[in-house]
Amino acid sequence: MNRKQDQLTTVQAAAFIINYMLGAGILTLPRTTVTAAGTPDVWISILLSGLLVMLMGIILVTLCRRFPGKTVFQFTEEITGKWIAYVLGVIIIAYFLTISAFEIRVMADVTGLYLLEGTPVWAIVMVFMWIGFYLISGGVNSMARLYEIILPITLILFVLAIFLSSDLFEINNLRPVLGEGIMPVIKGLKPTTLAYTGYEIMFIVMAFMRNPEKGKKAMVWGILIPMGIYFITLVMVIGSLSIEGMKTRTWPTLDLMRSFEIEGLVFERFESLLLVIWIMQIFSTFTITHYAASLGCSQLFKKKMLPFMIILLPIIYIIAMIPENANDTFKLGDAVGYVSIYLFGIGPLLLLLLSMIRKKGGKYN
Amino acid sequence: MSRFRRQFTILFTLLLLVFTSGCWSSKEIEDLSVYVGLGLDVAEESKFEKSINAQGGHYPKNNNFTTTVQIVPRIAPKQETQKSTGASEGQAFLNERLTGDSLFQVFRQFALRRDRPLIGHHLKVIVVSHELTKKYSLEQLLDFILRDNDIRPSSLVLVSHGTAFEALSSLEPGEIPAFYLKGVVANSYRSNKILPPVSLAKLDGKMQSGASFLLQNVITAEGEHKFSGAEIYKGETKKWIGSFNQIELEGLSWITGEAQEGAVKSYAPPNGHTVTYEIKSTKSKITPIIQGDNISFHVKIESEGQLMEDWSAPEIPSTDKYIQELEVKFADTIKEQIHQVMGKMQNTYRVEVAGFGEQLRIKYPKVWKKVKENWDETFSQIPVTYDVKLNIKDSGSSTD
Amino acid sequence: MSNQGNNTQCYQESLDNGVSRMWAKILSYLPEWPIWGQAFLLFLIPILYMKGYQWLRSSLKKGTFSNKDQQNQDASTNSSSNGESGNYANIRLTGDYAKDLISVKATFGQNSDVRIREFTITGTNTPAAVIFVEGLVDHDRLDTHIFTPLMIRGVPDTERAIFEEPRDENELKAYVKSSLLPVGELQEAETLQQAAQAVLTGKNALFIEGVASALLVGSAKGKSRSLEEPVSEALLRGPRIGFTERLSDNTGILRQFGGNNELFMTKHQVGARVKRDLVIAYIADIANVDLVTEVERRVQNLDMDIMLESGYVEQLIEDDELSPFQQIQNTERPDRVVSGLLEGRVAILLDGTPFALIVPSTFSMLLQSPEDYYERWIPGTFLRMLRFLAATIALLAPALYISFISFHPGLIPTKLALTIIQTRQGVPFPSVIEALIMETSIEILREAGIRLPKPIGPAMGIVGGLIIGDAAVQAGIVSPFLVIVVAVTAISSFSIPTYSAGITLRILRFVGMFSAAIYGLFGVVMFFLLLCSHLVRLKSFGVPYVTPAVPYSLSDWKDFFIRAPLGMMRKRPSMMHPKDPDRKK
Repeated sequence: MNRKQDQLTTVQAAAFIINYMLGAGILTLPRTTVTAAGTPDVWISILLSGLLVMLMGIILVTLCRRFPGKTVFQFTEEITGKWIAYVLGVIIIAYFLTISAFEIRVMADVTGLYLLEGTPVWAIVMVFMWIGFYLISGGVNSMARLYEIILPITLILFVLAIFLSSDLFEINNLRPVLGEGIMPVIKGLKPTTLAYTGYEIMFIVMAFMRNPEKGKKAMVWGILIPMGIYFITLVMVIGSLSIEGMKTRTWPTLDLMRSFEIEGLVFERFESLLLVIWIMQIFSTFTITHYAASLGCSQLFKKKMLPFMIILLPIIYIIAMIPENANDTFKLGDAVGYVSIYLFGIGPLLLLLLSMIRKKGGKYN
Repeated sequence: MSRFRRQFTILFTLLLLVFTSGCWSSKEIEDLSVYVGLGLDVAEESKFEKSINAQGGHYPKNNNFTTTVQIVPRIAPKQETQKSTGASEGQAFLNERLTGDSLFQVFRQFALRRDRPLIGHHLKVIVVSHELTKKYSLEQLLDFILRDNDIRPSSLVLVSHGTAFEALSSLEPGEIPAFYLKGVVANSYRSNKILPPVSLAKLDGKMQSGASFLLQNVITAEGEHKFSGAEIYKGETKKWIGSFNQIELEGLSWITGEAQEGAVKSYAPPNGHTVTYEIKSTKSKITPIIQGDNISFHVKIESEGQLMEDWSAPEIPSTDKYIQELEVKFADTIKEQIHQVMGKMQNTYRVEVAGFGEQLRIKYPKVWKKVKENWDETFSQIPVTYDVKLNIKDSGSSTD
Repeated sequence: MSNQGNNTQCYQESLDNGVSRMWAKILSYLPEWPIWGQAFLLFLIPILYMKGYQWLRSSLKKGTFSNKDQQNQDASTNSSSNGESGNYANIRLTGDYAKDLISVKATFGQNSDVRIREFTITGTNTPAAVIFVEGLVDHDRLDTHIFTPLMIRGVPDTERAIFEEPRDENELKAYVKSSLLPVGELQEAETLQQAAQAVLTGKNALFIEGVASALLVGSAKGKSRSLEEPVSEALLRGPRIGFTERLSDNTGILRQFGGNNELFMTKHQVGARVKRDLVIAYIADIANVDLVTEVERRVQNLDMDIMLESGYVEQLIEDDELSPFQQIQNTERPDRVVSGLLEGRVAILLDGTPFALIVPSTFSMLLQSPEDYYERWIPGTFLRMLRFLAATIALLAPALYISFISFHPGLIPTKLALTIIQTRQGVPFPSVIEALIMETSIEILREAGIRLPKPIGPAMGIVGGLIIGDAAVQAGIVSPFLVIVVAVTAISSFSIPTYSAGITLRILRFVGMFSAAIYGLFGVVMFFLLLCSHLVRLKSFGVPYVTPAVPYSLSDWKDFFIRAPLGMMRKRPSMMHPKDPDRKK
């Protein structure tokens, strides 16, 4: 069962993080950040918050290294005692469930708006969730392999699609740099940090890694690549649409792809490309969180994982259907983001200190 | 076995329930009307509408505008398309008009009239008549278009001097006006008298920023079109306030540096023969100069090109001296154009559409913050100096 | 005092109001009952799927669907196949010549093509007989190597004593075997049934008075064809040799082609009723020991009355019979087998079929052809990428067509959209039905084309395709654009080097079309994800099916999309965990 080759490689762990991070956020990132900051300097914010998240991530990895082979659900018990660990575990499970539901909801909305207008939401969502279930019932190794397949496709197509829009790009839309000082950059830090939710999956992935000592490397790469992607997205979207044009668009990145046509190239219209890879990314985010929640349930309640996978499906669906309109959905997403900052930004630090004070867990070799 | 069978039947019926609704969003492409051009005019009910209304087919509405949709392709009966493979008789498109006060409702009215619903995925050109934009702001008119998930923000926006319906018509058999208009706009690389194409996305950006902007103008006469000049829209109201003619547009292109291709014609001494200069490249730099509270601008224009046409009789050889004379003459012509457009911008219309505010915003953001509220007014008082320098590199294939 | 009371009362009321308002708000957020119904359906289907899947798997393993038979199978113990069964079982041969011959004549000697040649060994008075089958006997060999020494030369005087008075029967047998029979192949049969089996498969049985077993000499001559290029795997460049139906020939070719002292072959007998020889070949210092053990284990568990073709073996030892993808490669070419062996794979050869099996097999092997390696690396890379593109087209083109025409007219270029609208006027079917009609006709054509006689075959294919396509367009059943799509798809699927992979893609193409018909482009994406999810779960003898694409391994990638120059392909594929990873040695 735990043969050496069945465990995740470092690259696979990084793929987990990258695929989890790139999700619904890419489409709305330009708008949320520019609304908060007010200037086109948000590309600086994204680089800064990336570094900040890397710091938080390294703390997390250090914490996990003290308990090799155990996921967060298993080792918090050692640090804090049974009851707090239980509560913490339930909160984490609820967090993963909500992210799953949020991603599903956004995907259903965008697909229903741009791809399939007449199809009822439940039809879109159900088939998506069933295929996700089929994947995660194969275990973490199959999932890792799938993410390794999806990742290069996503990266290449995305960069290609974005750079096809360079016709619309005007550098003046990004200038002046730091025209209003550093304050807008600081204001932009909050929404950009929310975009990096995803590194917390290392809580679970580290337990499966073949070489846990390379966890830091996986974490760093797992944050660097989405940072690059977000950076390119922001620069191209703001550069082409200008911050005013973008503030009123619901899905600015998608609108960027719809704003140009290249006649003669096989597809004239390239939003199909972006939508395809975006759906694949949402799929990976959804399956990762679903799996994390099922794993958490099975480890907390000490039962097999498969029944939990099935039971969580309708729960996620119901949570996904709770927001009544687009605004509610975005509010849900923001709320989850805030929870993530506290839970996974400050939480690991506290746990690490606690574990060092109470001398639990071994130092990594 | 029987128990299993029962379970299986229940499951199967449940599954069938799921699929009885059929394929939800599929609609075959030949059952759709693709419209490639959209026109907005001042309200004028067509004969068809009037007689329908007389027969009781009206619904509560104010007649605010008339919209024209250009539907392609015109569906001919099958035998015709097989016979005539060459020139198609008649028009390749169909213009439909309806009047009302809500674009969306009007579109759905079309569904009552045609057996194929309209889809806007392939909309290429939106033509708005400038008369209409005197009454309604562009933001109001284009609101539905910006919200619709079908219509792509890559559609071009043009203003027509006459009615949009005329602009979208054509007497040339086989030609589709929307494609034709789009093609001409793409010609902007051949001439500096056409504005660079303005797509919906860019237009939305400009409108949201509150600055005044320009839109390309289309004039129609005898069923043929010409792109001439541009229409000016005031930033606050987004309504039409005036237009530039071709010369002014040329001058504007020099200021903004858009004059990358085109012709400059001048009359050279001693007897005013025609000479033409072909632009190969232009560099234009707008420098804002801040002295205390005073803002001023200086524009530096440098251009390189060829001497393309010389009507001198007898032929004056292209000596250095002659070339330099010509350079000065061309520069003077250009300065004249710029002077004209600056006059119009600052005095006649009191708007700023040449990108001065942009440069100020980039170079002195703090100053920009102070003045951006009333920038149009402020700009009319700001002195602008400019100097033009031309460099005729060669005279084409003939050295004379 | 009363003021305070009022205050607390108001406070209490407002608290109640607040609570009830909050409760109302929460209730308003609870979704409607259809959503609960959908959630229930969401929950139900995976449960049914898991139950159904487990039931299916256990039935497949037990071999039958009905519960009763399964119980019967469980109840009955595995009967050992040590004992013989059937006619005249377990009759030992005595040394009594007359008695043995009578029993032979009474049993299998009654077959019309069994001949018995009796004679006496020269120099003694020992009667002997050779029993052979007419169609299988090698007369020359029999005459020169059995009859001549026994009948002409016979036993020299010095050794006559052994014959007349042997100390025990073994001495006689040993003497005969070592001095009297100049043949290379010699075996013994102790029971009548063994002798019968041997004779009826082409050996010749020698009965000698005093020897309590039958000596089996020689082997079947049988007609076997010369080595020709395999029809199904023709290459432009490469050796024009293919395996034949005789196992001994095949093992010989293998040794000739790529053998060294490390090439190891073990023989097994498979088939319950008709036993055939099966050889497992591997290179002992490269192949992973676990892999070899696993292969042998699975082969020994084979349970069928006859292994007609290696396909039977393939289907019975593969990991997942429910998957549309083949997990074991089959080939007629020795060079493919040898290169597989050198990579650390294991080959299985079966008597009676020229198709050898190579395990384990992965996804990339479906699209590889040995020609890639015989040409230089630039053409090799180009061809490989072309094949990848062709495979993608063959799989997804009709599905994409359906999704763009029926669901997303806005995603195709405008001019194309207009042309399509014009040409599709009057087509009565939606694009799904259209595509299904054309695809099904092409599949039927293809099946028919295999069985057409050689001279008509290709012409019929081309003519049929063109004419049917054109006629269909003229009749207004399909649109011309679809004909192009279908034609391109068909041609692309022909470029897949392995036939079985081609079939897989054809089947999956239909599934893709259905999912596109319901969900458009979203359906195509879901189909692709479903396919990938299945592929990543599939394993072939412990090796994940999707290596070498994942996990990322730069050295494995040299042979996947591109074909790196030969000098750079130093390492054997790590997925096989070979003992000796360096290729240069």
